[in-house]
Amino acid sequence: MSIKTATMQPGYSQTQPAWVKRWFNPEALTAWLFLLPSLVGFGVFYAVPAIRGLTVSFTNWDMLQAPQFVGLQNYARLIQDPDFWNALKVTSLYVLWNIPIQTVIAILLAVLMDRLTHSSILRGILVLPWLMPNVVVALLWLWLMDPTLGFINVVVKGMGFQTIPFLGSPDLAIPSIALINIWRHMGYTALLIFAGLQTIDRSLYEAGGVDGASEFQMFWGITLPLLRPVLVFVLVTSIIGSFQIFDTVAITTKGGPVSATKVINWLIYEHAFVRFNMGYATAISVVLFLILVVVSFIQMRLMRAGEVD
Amino acid sequence: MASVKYEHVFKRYGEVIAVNDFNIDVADKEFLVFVGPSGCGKSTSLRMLAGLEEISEGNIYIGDRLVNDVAPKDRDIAMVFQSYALYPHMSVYENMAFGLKLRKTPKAEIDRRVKEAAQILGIEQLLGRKPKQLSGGQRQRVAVGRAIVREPKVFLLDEPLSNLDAKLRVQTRAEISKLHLRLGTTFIYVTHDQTEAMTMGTRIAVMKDGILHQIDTPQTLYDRPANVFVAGFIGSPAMNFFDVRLTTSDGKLVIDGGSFHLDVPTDRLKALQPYAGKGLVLGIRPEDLHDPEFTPPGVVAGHIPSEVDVTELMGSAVNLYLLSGGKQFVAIVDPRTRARVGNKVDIVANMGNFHIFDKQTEQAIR
Repeated sequence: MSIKTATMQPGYSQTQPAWVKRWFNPEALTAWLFLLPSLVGFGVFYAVPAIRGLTVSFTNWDMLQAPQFVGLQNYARLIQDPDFWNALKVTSLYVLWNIPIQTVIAILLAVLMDRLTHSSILRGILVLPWLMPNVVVALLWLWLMDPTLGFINVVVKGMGFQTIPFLGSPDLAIPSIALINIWRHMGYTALLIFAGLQTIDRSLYEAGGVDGASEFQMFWGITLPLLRPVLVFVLVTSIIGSFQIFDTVAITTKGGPVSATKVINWLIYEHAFVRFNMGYATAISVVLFLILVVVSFIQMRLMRAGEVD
Repeated sequence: MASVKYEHVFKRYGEVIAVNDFNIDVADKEFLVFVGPSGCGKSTSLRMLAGLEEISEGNIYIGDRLVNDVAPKDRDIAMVFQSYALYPHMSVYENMAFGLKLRKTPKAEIDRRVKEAAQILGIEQLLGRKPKQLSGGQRQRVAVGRAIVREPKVFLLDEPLSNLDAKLRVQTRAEISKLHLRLGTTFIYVTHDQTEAMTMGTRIAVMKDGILHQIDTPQTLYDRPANVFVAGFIGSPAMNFFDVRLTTSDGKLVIDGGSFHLDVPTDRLKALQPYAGKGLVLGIRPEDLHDPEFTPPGVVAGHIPSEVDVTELMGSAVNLYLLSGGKQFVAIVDPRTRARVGNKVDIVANMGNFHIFDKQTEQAIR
């Protein structure tokens, strides 16, 4: 049926309700066809497992027997679970170490690149760490940070200082993992912010210069406010990402030493694939999801994400 | 107070000379316009004065002070940018107050100045709004207001009317002129539009390819352009140019245009006699060409036989596009003219107002 006949057939337009005409007219159908691959992918790999996870969280499935509905029992358990609260604390600590330092360094890098050189080679080098697989980066740093053979400690000892235990110390473990991820992401984040800087009209800086602003005043009063949209994006995505830290922990500390790096995702992993408490593990995942929704919402409100300058 | 002086100023970008030996003395309280086609160096010259561009060679003075190495904020200037450059995240009030806040001006003084400037410009009711909530004309006024509150020695304006629609442009031109009179400060104004230049400037500096061709009052530029470029740039529609030969006939000096012959009036004989027999460029403005039926009294008449190609009815006048000997030219004639397309008309040239230029040097011969 050609488009012409479809829209000109009197019967068609009289019998179909408005919403059908809106969502399923021939043009819309073509749109659906284009969206189908993505929708299928999203459905199969995201939506369906997520909903399934939610339903499993209300059961006591241990992968051996059939799941039995237990209501909110898993959730009640995790509220009283010290492991869960520790995981929350440890993960928050990680985010607090990781995000501020990473963002500040990224902004500085972006501004430096913008002022000094727009060289593509430099930008390429900057993004290299982000291109390396997570696991490779973790292994790399695992060896760099090794107390006896690691390059960092060789240099430190050579300068006459004490060995830095990095990943072996309960106090330094989370900051060390944060360091690894800062190293990995700062270049990429810097590039995003650098792109944002290009959208700022140069004549604003000239006007600022004529008005009498110093470099710092221009950065604080012009650059940062106008970077707000980019910073919102960067902060929201990196905080969400940070809360889900896993790979680095899995390669380096595996939750130790003494649960110092037992982050939420590690806890989920342990319960799901070591102890086979699927019900409990999915309950923790749901809680993590809710936490991230709340955090993102608060963030976006605070940063007035919906507004454009 | 604040005169401005450019002394042998050059601006080079590698091999390209954007500003070539620029020398100007701007008097205090003057409204000087830099005008010229794109790429002539006018904006660059202004920006060098503002301190936004390095000076390759030469000196710039504001008052008696050499400002070559002085930062823009210390030159006591204020600038209105072509794109207005309003801080998008600040309100109109904050935009105008920004420069004063940076200078640690007392709050009460800031408030007084901002409100006063807003009142002069008629934008008091906009003080709380952000730039994105304003129209183009309103933003332009905020940009001007931001400059006014600084009470600078010199106002610099870089094509401030370019982004306004035609009607608003005409209105704002008059407002800027009034502002200049009211503030009594030196204004330096850059534009590519010769109408803006003619209507606003006390003096106009005509530039092309980095070179200053002529600097004079508007009337002088119109009456006595120094060369072909200035003659063709000032005045709209542009001056008509003809390749002619100066010949002698019956003891009289005649401008021979091929298809027309014009007697040289006695008051110009002395200057032109040395060029007898030479090829020259004749310039006549469209407003100095008249319909023979409606020639104003007192015109010393020469005749150019021509044919009407196109007519444009302007209401207050008629533009005739004419052909004479294959050469096209324009005449602005009385609206009562009966000339129509295809008609043959003996166009009257006002021989009291013609210009002769040397063919090689393009300089005017007076």
